[in-house]
Amino acid sequence: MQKASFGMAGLVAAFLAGVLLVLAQSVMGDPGVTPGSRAAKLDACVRSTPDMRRNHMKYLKHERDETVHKGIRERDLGLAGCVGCHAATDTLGQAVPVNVKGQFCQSCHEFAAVHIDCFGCHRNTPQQARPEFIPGFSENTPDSQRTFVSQHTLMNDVSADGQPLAMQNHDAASQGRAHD
Amino acid sequence: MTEVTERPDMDRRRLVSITAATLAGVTIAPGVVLQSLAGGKTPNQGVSSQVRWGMLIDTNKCADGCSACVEACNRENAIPSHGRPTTDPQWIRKVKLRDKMTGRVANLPMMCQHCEFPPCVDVCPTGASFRRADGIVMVDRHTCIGCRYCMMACPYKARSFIHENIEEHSVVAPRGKGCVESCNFCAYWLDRGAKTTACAQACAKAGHQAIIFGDLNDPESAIAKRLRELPTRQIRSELELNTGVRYAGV
Amino acid sequence: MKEMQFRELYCPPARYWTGLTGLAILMAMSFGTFLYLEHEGHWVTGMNNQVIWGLPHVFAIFLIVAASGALNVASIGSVFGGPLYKPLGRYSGLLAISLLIGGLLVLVLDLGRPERLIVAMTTYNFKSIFAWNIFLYTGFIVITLVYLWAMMERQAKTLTRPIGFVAFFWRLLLTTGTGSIFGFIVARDAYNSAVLAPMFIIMSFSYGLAFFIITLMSAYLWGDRKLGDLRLAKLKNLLGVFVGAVLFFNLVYHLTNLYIAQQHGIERFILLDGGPYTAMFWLGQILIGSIFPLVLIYAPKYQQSRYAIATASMLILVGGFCQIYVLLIGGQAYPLSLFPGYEVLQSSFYDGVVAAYSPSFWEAMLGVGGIAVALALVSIGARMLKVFPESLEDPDSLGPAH
Repeated sequence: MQKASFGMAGLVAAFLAGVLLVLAQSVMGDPGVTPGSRAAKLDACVRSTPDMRRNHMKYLKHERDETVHKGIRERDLGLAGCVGCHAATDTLGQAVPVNVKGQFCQSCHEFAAVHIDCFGCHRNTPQQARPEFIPGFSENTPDSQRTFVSQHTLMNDVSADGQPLAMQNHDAASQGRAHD
Repeated sequence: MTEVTERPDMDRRRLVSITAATLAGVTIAPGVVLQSLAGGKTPNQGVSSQVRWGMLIDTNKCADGCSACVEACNRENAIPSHGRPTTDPQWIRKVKLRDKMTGRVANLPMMCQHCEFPPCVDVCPTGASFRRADGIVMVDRHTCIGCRYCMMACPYKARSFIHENIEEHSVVAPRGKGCVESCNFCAYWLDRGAKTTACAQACAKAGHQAIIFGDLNDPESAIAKRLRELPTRQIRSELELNTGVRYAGV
Repeated sequence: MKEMQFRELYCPPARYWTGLTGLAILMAMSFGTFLYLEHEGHWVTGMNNQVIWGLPHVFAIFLIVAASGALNVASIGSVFGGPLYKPLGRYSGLLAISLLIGGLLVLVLDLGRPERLIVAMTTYNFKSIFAWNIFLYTGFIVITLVYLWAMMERQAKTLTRPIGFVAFFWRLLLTTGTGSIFGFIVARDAYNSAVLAPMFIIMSFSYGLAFFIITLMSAYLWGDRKLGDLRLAKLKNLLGVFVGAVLFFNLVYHLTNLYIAQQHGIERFILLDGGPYTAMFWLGQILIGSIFPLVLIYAPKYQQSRYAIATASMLILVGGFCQIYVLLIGGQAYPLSLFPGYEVLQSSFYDGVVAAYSPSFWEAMLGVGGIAVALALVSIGARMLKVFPESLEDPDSLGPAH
């Protein structure tokens, strides 16, 4: 009698685990990237996809404290970087906000029923921020002449002549980080 | 009729406990794997107190009727005007004064004075209003609850509350309804290696050069040199807040 | 002395339910206002970058200050050994909690980001008196609940004295904290004074007792219960002392300011040419809030009149509201003196000019909602808990000396 019930318990547990696995697969299998976005053309995010799925909120939260309080702008983990890569462009070439229904952030967050607070303050389309008021400011300025700087660059940053900096800098940077 | 015994049904208990344990394991296990966070190695440690950003305003050079600094700030930080001057935010404003006894007129821009002992930082209940190591006083809008106590406490009325929804954001200055904000010395650009602010640059471009921005701790910087030449003072100096912004000629 | 019987307050159901419905409508309107404000932003109110805290905060501070004072009666009963006050202790606790919750609700609903209340309750900057106030307010509710339990639990009667002490000192801390919100501000001429903390304490005594008396009289009138003249007279005389004390603190505050050249501007503004604020000060705070009530309380002509006591309490509440309005909003309307000796010719940020402020309907709605919540809690508490003695007739055993 006891042996049979043990088997019964094991069967139930295995069944439940299987159900959960199947459910998880259905979410994990979907890449989640919106067609027409820059991310759709790339094969990797700044971190691996499962890592991002699970930890993007932690990265963003840690990043924001570092940025705001210490001025460290590790731009591959910054929100502007996410938006720059994951915002789709429509047929007219205009960027679509990432938090609109059906777009990158909203597609998962609606499923997870987690309200996104970010875009009340943060820009939801990519922007090339140009330092118009700083003559001679360039990414090529040596570190010794800067107060401090991060080595990472991202598509949102521009050189002094207004050209967006290339994405290869971004991949090299992410490989350079000794992280899982 | 089932036999009623004193002993509890151990088989049922075992089933429940195994199921619960398995469920818990299946739920928790994936999370245990990915615990480590990024950011272990940062190429730099961020701002330090070796630098103290400050500003020198020479009111003798500040031109009457010119608002280049205000326009530059509003443009840079995407601060719109809603046509409601009582609630529209102002990070910097022009003030025109007249000495009551002598009649002498002076013009000056007024903005957050980036005090060393900021009253706004003291009164913020969540610590959202804070002073960065390099002297910039700003609001961490992730923590701000919008109580506006810092606005009550600021001796310079430097802070603004955002009273409405923001339609167009700039990546340079994330800002949103319900939080308090003030001049942050263009920290977005300073952190990327810039050495000046939008207002100082605009004033120079307009030909007045009334605003000098720089590192107060660097004895060779332009601002430090000029501070040694000109007699300057803090506004409301009796409060002894050791402001980062100094005024000459008023 | 026969044991005091406490009983739930019963009044005709029609009156009770009509009253509660009315309060519920006000609360619903207030909640709707809150949703509107949260959606649109604060630009729809009269509050702006010059007058930062407006009518909702006047209501909130008024309720919070009155809340801590309402507990006074219980303290006198338990701590200071006033036998005539002892039976009133339970209701005192209920009223205190209700008023505080009403006031806090208004404060929280007016936040720019009320959804970040969790952040406010978990992230603290302990140099800020606001942060301490969060603990003081929530602690007050907890302590008063324990106090109430001790007063109602037959086997815990001996605990009322020590808990009463704790409640009394906590209350003083709380009101000191509330007064220090303003007292710690260097920026504005109307604040930045150490006298504000004790002044708020004495204001709390006055408004709290006024609230207590008026609601006690109403409850016993509508509940068809007897309220003895002697007991009422004691409460009335105590109220008179408090009103006088508030007047004294105001005198000290203004006299000191008048002595200091730097403060002449704000004094002139409040006392002379501040328009609505001057009117509210002299008519509202001094005449209606202090002089008339003192006459009603102490004049021999009104010694036997219950109407006089009720009227005096209402006038004190009106005057108290005016006092907080003048302090809070008048203090903000008066410009900061950044450039002493200069006059401001032009500024896009209203430097140097008296700020215009007209309260909006939304702000009034928020504030009224707070009062409605407080009164609803009192009504429900009185109806469901045994806080009111069956009869507050003057005890025969106590001689005329009491």
